[in-house]
Amino acid sequence: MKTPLSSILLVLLSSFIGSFGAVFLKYGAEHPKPGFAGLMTNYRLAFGIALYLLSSVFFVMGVAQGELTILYPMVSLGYIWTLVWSRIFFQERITAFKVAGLGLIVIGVACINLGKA
Amino acid sequence: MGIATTTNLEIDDRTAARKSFLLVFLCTLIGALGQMLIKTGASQLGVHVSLPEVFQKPGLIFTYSFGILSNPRLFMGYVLYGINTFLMAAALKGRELSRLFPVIALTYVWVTFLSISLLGEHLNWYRAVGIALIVGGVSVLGMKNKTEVVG
Repeated sequence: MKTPLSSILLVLLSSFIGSFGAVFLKYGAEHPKPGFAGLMTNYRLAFGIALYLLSSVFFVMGVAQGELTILYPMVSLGYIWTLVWSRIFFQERITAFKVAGLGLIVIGVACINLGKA
Repeated sequence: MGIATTTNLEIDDRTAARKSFLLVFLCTLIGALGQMLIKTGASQLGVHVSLPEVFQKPGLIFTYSFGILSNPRLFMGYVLYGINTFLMAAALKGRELSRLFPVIALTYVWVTFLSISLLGEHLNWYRAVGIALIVGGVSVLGMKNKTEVVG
């Protein structure tokens, strides 16, 4: 079974959009408004959710064709984007622990998917 | 740190960190269930769309979204993802995104367990090593330097 380039690009795009979803989720959480109405009108949160939905649609499109052992681990690349956005948007430190932990996770996700083959 | 052991600030920070971690942990369990539903639902749907087609006809995104809504498994899967989103936002409040977000990878561990127990798949070395690496990675991610400022 071959994995089309378009599937790879769709899943990459999905992981990229999804990582921004996480950024806006945090923005939304840091600017809370009281009550249910406040939750429903939190536009930062809403934008984060919209990005997640868009990301999911691209993901479903991407995995409809091609090898899942290649496509599924690519989602974990989103964690790497998130590390970079966290540094840029929230001034979080990139520590050796975070880099090492992420490395283990990305390799681990790839291993799990190799095991599916 | 020396003789002066843990301050109240550090204890508060640890409690908040644990609460956030447990929330994300719950997200991974719900997410695994959601992923199983989406995985089986997506193959039921069986529509193939390529990237060039999407660029030519952006309306396909809405057609595809409607397909997702009309499939019960995909619908339930996305409802669970929706619940997860709010739990995740609650967990991220005041905490580090770069430390919490990758914990989501634990979802793969539960999906593997579910695939083995429900779908009759088998545990092999790749999967066992993968699970160990993810769990190890999440543990390393939670570690902090003693010099790191609390907060």
